[in-house]
Amino acid sequence: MRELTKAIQETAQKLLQDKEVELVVGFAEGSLPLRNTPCFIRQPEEAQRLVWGYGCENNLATYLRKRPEKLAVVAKGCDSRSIVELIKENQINREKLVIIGVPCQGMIDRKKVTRLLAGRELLEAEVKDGQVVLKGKGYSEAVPREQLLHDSCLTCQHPNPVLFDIMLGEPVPVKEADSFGDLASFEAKAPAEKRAYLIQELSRCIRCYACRQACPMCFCEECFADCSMPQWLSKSSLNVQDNVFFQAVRALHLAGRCVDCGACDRACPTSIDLRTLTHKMVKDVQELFGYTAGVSLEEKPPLAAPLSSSTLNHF
Amino acid sequence: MPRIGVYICHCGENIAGAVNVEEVRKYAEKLPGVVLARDYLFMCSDPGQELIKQDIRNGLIDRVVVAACTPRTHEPIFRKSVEDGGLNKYLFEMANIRDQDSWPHWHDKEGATAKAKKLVASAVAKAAFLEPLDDRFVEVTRASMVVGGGVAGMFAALDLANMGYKVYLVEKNPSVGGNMAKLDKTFPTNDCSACILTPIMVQVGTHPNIELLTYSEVESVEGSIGNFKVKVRKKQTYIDWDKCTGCGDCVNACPAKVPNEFNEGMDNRKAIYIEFPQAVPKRAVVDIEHCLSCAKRTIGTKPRIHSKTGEPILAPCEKACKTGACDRSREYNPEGEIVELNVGTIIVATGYKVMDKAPFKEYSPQSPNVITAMQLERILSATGPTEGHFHRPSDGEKPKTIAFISCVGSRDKRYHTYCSKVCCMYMLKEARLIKEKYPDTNIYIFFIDVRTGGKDFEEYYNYCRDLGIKMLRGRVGAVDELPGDRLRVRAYDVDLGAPVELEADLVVLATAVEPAPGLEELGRKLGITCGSEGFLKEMHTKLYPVETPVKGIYIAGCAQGPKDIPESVSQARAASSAAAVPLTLGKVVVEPLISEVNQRKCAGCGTCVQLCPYSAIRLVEDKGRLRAKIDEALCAGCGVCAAACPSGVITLHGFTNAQIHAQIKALAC
Repeated sequence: MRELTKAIQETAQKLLQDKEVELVVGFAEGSLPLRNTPCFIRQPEEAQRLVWGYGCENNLATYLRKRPEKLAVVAKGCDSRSIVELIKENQINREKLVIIGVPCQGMIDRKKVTRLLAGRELLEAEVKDGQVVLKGKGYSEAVPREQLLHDSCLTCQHPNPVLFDIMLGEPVPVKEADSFGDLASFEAKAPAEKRAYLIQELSRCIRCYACRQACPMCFCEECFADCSMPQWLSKSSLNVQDNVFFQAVRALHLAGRCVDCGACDRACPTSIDLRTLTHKMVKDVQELFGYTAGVSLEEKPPLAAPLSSSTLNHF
Repeated sequence: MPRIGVYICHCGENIAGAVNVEEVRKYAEKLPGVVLARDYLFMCSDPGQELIKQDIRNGLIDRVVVAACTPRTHEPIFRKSVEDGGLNKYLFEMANIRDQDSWPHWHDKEGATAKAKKLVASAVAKAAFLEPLDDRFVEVTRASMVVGGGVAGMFAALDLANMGYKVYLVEKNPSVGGNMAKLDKTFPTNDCSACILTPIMVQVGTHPNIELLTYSEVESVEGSIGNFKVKVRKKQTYIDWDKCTGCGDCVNACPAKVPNEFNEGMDNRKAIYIEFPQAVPKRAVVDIEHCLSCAKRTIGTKPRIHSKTGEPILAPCEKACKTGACDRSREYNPEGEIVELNVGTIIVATGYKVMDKAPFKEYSPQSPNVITAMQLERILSATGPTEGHFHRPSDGEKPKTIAFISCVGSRDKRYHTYCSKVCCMYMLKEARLIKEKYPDTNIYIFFIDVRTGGKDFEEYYNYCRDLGIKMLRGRVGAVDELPGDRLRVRAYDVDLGAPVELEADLVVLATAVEPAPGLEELGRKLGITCGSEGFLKEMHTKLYPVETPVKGIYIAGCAQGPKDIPESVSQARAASSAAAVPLTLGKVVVEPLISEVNQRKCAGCGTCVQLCPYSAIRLVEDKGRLRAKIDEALCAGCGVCAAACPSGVITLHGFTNAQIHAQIKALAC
């Protein structure tokens, strides 16, 4: 981690000094333990603020759309895949972007930490030899890192950037996990049970649209949720049916675009399980069209390509 | 508030027989926006249309809904009435309460009436949101493209060329002629196929208005009626056709042997070859896959120099060529050449292929003496592998007993459920040719049904029976190989009610007619579809048999379904006259039901650009941002972009979100 932080700082500083870019988007230290925050560096001397940690969970591709200036971005596997899709959809000018690729060990889910600590406040955390040492007033607890990773990181098949200009650090090995294993319990449900589950989850929705804002692929000039002519759905979160409708449409709009980074899920202030829906859609796209988002610049997204007989055979 | 008039048609008993029209009329009267609702026996009749015109003229209504039959056939005439009455003709909406209601629900009068109400309510709801639109006119490029150089394609091309239009005839083989060129004689008159076809081929080859593009395939098609932009790939021949005279010296010199497609694989051709003796154009092509590159003369390399003579060492084909057409030093592009054509209309006549015998394991396809009818056709032909001598393939003996098996792959759920239509007649023809020439030959035809519908066909059949050709009703179960190159045919004779067996020297399989390979892909390029059996679908079986859902594209011949030569030619000539209409008019009306992008809200992702089948959408820069823009002249209003736009900012006029929402809402009530 420390080496990666140093390498990121040096790379950013050099890019800015040489005027290769005007802006570097990366992560800085957050105000809480295990938390990093997106950070925008314009001066070479500010590059020292950049860090790499276990809380670099935001998808930074969100900040790259339609930027006028030349810029660099620190990208882990999922960020790079979103970048690939955004390039294909003309939202990022590849020529104006320098991708600083960073291999990703998986990010720590603070909600899991909070649950584990059961009310105790976390004051300090340290990650060493695969163990996370959590410290607070009167306690110090070591937990295996795997136990605290985000669910999306546990099934991730692309921890290393798929597209980069500069690669820092050594690529990490890819886990041989079943990327859709965690969907089994949802898929086993009957349609009515699925619906009941979604209604139960989305009854907590406050329509803050943080999920939409955090997602790099939600880039409509006007979201259908904001549209008033026609008004597709009510504006109030009290209508749970419309909350479900919003998420269902959001998932469908992301078919062939979603890289399962989990940014929407993390952004949700009421901890709604949003990923089950998007993750299931990722699986369906893979099964129906044989398409994995963000792994190739050439392959056309399935919803932007005419159906061929070979695609139709999947149905 | 719109003032909508609703007109409900009885269509004689067609609608009124299942739908309580009066009840629907009363219901329609109370729908929001409706000021009057009338019913009439035949709305499409003169007095029916007069009702609409009068109500408009009297200032009673400004939107019209007709609940009747299908807009496919009747929308144009009602639009005309609306226009004659003095309204914009797009302020009209149709509810199909016949095809979608009274017919399918004939035995459920109550249900049919309830459904008619829903359909009317939905059309009325949409009518409230209709907007006046203006027709557009598109200039027509006065040229046509015909795909396929068989008998259908050639006649279509000739007719258009004789009318004075430029025609591009695209054929994938080196020569025009198609399957008919392979046939020996043709039913029902038994005239020699080549004798009647060759003059047509020559006319096509020499007509000043026809540009022949043989050994070529359609690569892509863009645009719409009046202005199709077609890219055609001229495949690489590796011969300079401007210099080639078709003398055949290179062919004689070539040592390579390749199964001859023209003779259905029964003999060999060379790697450098002329498709058949009467080929038009008569030019050689090099089958580069099978070329041996004699004397190490790979295409595009300089010849080595003989160490003693100092002469260049040439390949035999080059040495034989007197005109310099065969020059292996030249660097040919293996991809060939792309030719761009601008045409106003397109006719597709890509023909058929006959099924191979290989899948029919029960008929011993491994035996050389089990052949397809097309192979027999080549054996009987003077230009075939036996030069017209009737020999069986295994040992060259003249067969004494021949068994024909009909419906091989046709009328068979395992392969094709359809009837290939020409097999009964061609089997009879082949049998008759043999029987007339060699009266002592025993000929048996095993059939399920003999289908000889057609002018002079039944007489032909009776004549064959009188000649002594034996017809056995019953399906053949198996053909076994016996020693001495004999074959045993085992069948069940339905008339005898008993199994029968006979030994034959030659077994001929009447294999099914199938769509030409690649037809589906070509259809996709053109935007026209194939039916479940893989043949191209016409717009309407009876009334628009040569039209397709894509305006300006017509079909003819076996690409549409199995048919014989007279039918193919008739259809080709029908297609050419349909294709000439827009060319003659010089401009065509294009409905204003096209798409429009709300540029302010477009995110410029380009999804629509990639999907548009007409290449009508481009991304243009607007204040530093990319936005989609639709070319009105090219847009055909298919709606693919409107459906695909992830941001939902494309409107398809005539099918706007507001209109469709209103319809759905009305249906849900």
